[in-house]
Amino acid sequence: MNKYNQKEISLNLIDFYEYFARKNQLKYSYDDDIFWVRNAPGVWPNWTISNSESEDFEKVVDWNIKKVIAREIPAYWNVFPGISQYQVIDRLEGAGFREIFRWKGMALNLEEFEAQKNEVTGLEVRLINNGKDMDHFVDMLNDILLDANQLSKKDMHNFIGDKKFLFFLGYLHNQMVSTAMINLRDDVAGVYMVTTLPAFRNKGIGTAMTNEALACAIERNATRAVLHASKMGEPIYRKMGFKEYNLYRIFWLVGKQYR
Amino acid sequence: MEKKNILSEIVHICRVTFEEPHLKITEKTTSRDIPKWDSLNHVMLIAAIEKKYNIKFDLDDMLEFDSIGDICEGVYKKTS
Repeated sequence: MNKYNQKEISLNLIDFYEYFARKNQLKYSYDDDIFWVRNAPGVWPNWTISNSESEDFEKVVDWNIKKVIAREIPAYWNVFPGISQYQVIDRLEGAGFREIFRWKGMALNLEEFEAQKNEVTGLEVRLINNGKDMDHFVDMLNDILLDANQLSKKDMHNFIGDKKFLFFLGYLHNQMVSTAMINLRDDVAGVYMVTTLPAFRNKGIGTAMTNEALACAIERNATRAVLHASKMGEPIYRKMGFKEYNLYRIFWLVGKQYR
Repeated sequence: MEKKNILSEIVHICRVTFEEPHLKITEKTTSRDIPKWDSLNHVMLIAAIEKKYNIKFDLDDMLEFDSIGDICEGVYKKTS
């Protein structure tokens, strides 16, 4: 079960980016070792991901570092867990990359999970199905979660009514305060983009949003949920029953030209 | 190294990093006060400060710095 969860946490993330790229006709490339997706400068997503699972990974990484330096592939590099993770990191740091985030890969068995009743008074969680709500989602996410690379409304409109990507907005007494999103890959729901306005944190809204998103995923036959938790989100997910399985380390090649 | 000197040096590094030579900065200045102080410029700022003082901050330190004062305090601890 551990290996299954570890794999699904990684595969759901790649699937998320690949689907986003395909729907928006972005440039992307996916082979066994490296995945990358590009958008316009300053527009999310711009990612290179390495799968660090094989022992002789150095040549692949060195080749792709050169491509980052030449600006042929994105300078944000997510080093996936695996037997070569530390070798990859050594090479990245030697080339001038700097670790900027760490995410804990977590998973939850939805067959043993009972979605909690929304206990936040006045909170209404809506599944987005129109352009206006999607624009609000983008504005909130750009304001709270993303700064250097922003979501584009044009890209996100391609997902209105989508059956695989489901987006949620949380309204507290009719004020928009929170977002969440799931990516359905077979029977696994990846949870992403969970944010709450700073003034409304520590009120249970993040938990309520995640619960609603998971309830929606269960209705669509998901049996497992996966996510990549930031330091802020981790305690919320642990309390819900998510368990940690691996660690993702995100690096960036420091430099103005690599923004 | 004196804290006053650290602040003035860091102010200079901020002005170079954010490309605003006349930026007004105090110990209380945070990223919310400077539009160009986004997550990537934060990394560049910290990298420039590390190079200046020949020090290294770990990821947790870097992510927890909220104000110029926090950064100055971090530099002071590493250099004294």
